[in-house]
Order: sequence, then C-alpha cells, then structure tokens
Amino acid sequence: MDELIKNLKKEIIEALNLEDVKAEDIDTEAPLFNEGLGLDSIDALELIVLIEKKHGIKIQSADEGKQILYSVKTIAEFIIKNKK
Amino acid sequence: MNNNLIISKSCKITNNTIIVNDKLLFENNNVPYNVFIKNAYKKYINNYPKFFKMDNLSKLGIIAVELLSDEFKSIDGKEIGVVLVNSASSLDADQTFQKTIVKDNYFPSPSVFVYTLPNIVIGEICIKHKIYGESSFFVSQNFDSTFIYNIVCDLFSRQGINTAIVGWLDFIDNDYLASLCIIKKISQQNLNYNEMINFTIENLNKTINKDI
Repeated sequence: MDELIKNLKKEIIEALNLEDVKAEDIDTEAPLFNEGLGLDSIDALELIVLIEKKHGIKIQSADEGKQILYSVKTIAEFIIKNKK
Repeated sequence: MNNNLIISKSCKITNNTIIVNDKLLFENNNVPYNVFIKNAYKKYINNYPKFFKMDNLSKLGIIAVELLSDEFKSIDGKEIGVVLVNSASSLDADQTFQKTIVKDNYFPSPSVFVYTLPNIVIGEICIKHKIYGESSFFVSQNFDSTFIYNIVCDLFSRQGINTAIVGWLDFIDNDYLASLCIIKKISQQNLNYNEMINFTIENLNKTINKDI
C-alpha cells in the first residue's frame, strides 16, 4: 500500500502538471479537490484516465468516482480492491 | 483614421526573446520553448499555477498579455475587448491530443482536449485578467491589418469598449510568435499620452506585422 501511494502521488503530479508540488507535499488522506491540491473537474477526468491507463481499472459511475477520487488513500484502496 | 484611438504598448515573443515597445526585455537562448516560457513565467508571473496546465499557445498568450497588463489594470473588465489572429489555429494542441487517441493506446486526455480550439487562449487571458468584453479569434494565413483595423474600430464603436488587446498569436511545431498590442481610446485631455502612436492601418501593420 505504501509503495502504491508513493507511486500514485508521482503519477498524479505528472498527469496533472502540478509544477512545484513534490510527492511529500501531498497529504495522503487530505481531499484532493476544492481544498488540498485545489483540483478541478478536468483534473478529475484526467485522474479517471490515469487510473485506467496505469492500473487497468475503470471507474464505472460518477457517484462512485466522487468517493474514489476523494484522496490519494481512497484511490489506492480502490486500486487494491479492484486489481485483477 | 480613428482620431480617438492609439496603440499604447506592444509586446513580441519569438525565438526565445521577449520585446516590449521595441526594447529587449527578456532573453533565454539555447533552451527549448517549454523551458523559455517557464522561465518567463517565473520572472513575470510566478503565482498562477494554472499556467502549467495550459497548452503552448495559451502559455504564450498569457505571458504576452501579462507584459501589457499595466495598460489595462485599472480599467473595468467589461470595457476591454480582445481580437486575436493566427494561422495554425489550435493545431499544436490538436496534434498533442491525437497522440492520446492512437489505436493501441487509446486514452483521450481531457486536459489536452480542452485546448483543441484556438479561442481557448482568449478564455485563459480573460479569466486571469477578469476581462468580460467582446472577443474574437480569427484564423487566417496572414495578419490582414485592414480587416483587423475595421474589426477593432467596430468593436470600439458598438460595444462600450475603451481598451483592446489585439494581435497575432501563433504556435506550431515549436515555432512561435506573439505580436500583440494594446489599443486605447483616449480623451482630448490625454492627448499627450506617452509615446503616442495613432491607431491607423499603417501603424497597426507596422506594430504587428513586421515579423510575421
């Protein structure tokens, strides 16, 4: 889980062009949207693509997506739960 | 000739240099565009992280307009218009997006897709500077000074506009040119405006077109 979280943070920084943000700056349990990294709706779509592209898992519904994309920790838990 | 309009400031960005009012302001030789534009951002903006999410064309426009922004800082955003022209449209972003939709690696990037229209750069400029006036983006092989002169005169006469950001903004295959200027409506008491250039077809052509 720790390794996955570390990699996820790096992937998020790269995919969302978060210049000047380092992996260690991202709080694993903090909300990614509004507060925290201040991500927006396009970033949410980009995260959905990232999860599918890098981890081979599709998020099926918008409601599900909201909970999954809440924090780095919730994304990591979703990946572990759905990894084939 | 429109006697009330002047060209108050100009900015050119090309070949790793930034020139404002015909004077070299910033130079960053022997680096690729992404490094050059990032260094310009660090020097002249540095507090707008959204910049890094933008496409190449928007980054170019954001930096050029930033260097002209002292001309419209105190003006109500509803009174500022934007008229931009280029020849490559959003082809640079289109090509980047196309790379995300290849057959065996089909992951369309939403954040690239949003830049696959040339007028998105106007949106970015307007969001950053809270500009709410009329705007247009034309795609044309050349900067037609007569055509744009008429568009700008129409903008000033009908839309309650007293300042406009006008010019050429193009990016394709790492070849780029921003050549923008500020057009201002001046009142009789401001006739001694510093380095005043009347807004004429000839002066617009001289200001924007000489490097295109």
